[in-house]
Amino acid sequence: MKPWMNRVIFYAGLLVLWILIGELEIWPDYFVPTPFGVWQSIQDGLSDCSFFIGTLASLKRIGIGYGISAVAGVILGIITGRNRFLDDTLGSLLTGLQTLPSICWLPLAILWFGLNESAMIFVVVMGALLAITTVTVSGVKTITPIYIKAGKNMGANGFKLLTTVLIPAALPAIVSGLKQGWFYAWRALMASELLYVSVGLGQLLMMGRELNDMNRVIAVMLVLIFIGWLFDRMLFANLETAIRRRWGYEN
Amino acid sequence: MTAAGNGSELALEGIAGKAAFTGKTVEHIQGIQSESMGKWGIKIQNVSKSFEVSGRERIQAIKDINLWIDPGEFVCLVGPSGCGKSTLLNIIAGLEQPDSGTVESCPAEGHGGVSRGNRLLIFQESALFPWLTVFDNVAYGLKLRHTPKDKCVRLVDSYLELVGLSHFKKAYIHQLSGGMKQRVALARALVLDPEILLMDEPFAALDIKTRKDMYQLLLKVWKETGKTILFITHNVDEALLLSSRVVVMSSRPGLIKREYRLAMGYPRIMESASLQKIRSEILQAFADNPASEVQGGTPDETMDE
Repeated sequence: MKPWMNRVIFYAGLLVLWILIGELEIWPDYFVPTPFGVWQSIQDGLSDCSFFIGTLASLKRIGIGYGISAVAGVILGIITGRNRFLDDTLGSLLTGLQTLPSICWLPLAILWFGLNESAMIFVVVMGALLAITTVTVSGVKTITPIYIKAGKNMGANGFKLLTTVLIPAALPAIVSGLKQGWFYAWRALMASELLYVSVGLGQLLMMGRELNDMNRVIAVMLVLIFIGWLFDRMLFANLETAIRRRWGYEN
Repeated sequence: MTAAGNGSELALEGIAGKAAFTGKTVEHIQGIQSESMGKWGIKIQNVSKSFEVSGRERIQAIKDINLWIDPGEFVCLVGPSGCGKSTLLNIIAGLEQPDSGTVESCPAEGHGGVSRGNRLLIFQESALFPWLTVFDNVAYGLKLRHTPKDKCVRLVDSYLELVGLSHFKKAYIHQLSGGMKQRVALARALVLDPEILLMDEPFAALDIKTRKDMYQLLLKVWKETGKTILFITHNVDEALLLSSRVVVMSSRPGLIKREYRLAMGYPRIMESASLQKIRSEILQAFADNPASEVQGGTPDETMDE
């Protein structure tokens, strides 16, 4: 059987199970909601635009935060990967800092920036930047030396060597770094939105909790899963496959 | 198939292949460029290089290498692995600096001009860029030199034709076989009109049949472009079949032991008495060194490399 058919059957089965549990009324529906209630809540969220507003607010934050970390992370990663001294020093610092869950930067961010957007964006940046940088560093360090030799031999140096050899050669690693960074950014953003309430998907989730609206909670969680899936599957997975194929890592 | 049978076949194929290949391509290329064809020799004087191994110990990779290569000469450097052949090649290519000594390009008589130090290396493994198509790989160096687009297209096309890969312009590197990759590498180097072509065991990873084809192709290219070639190998037969001069190196430290001028024409067969004589002399020279990987045998017998 084709994988997608297996999947359809699996999810249909899961849905039927969920409906059955709801029908049996073992638990009250503020405890375990029914798919119908959740569906209603999704429709409400879509029709009063609260999901859109929340999603846009969250995407804007992640767009700025992730954008900064992507640009800075790739640049920092390439410089660190090419410089022995920076790799020994900064490289080890970055690896150390990466063990810190990014939400732990929030108290510091609030003291620095106050309770505002900047604080959240800072947390997102700290979440993604370290991941993108460390993966890029290892990608640059593992570039097949022969590509660099060949490039230099044909007359590429400095900036030309960077743009025509180093970056393309490290691109598969850079893309997986960007993908990992996206995950970290997304998680960091949700964590900080839950803690610091302002418009956003995290806030919609917390609102569900405060109103004891389990349907809303599940509905927002589904939206979060959908957005995460959209970026991972649609954007990064395709990009990664295309690059791996072109570079000859598959076949 | 016996080794002898293969040897003569190689010779016959060589003639047929050459007749079929020559023609339009040559004029085409000569029409586009003729700046430095066969006009540069290389003068290597007292070149030494040592490396630091695991902290303190220094290993003398090559010592006092003196080698003059005449314009248009095809020199094969034969030696065991670890004799510093590749180091020497990297130094000539400008990728490494020698501890002492100099490498200069010197123009042929009656030809002035300033050397651009344009000495191109072809590696054993494919050093082609997988993120570029065959065409873009060959065009890479030209683009770095800001060659006008139409000239670039013409040059790349003609060199791809020379190596017989016109139909693979748009292919990506991972779609090519080992032999095709080395053809692209050859075109990528030749298109930049190098003063000397440096080849670092370029055919060592290929199977016998492909290797024979590459011998033919390389001899054809040499004949048509008149390039000066320095070719490294640890396969004595390869050196004897291809070059106009064989230089034998010893290891630790890498020194030039002796050399042989090969006046005979092409295509050659290993069975010829004069080649056999030189072959056994060279192999004898390495026989007392048990670590030596210098191999005799026809290309057929050296499959397991």
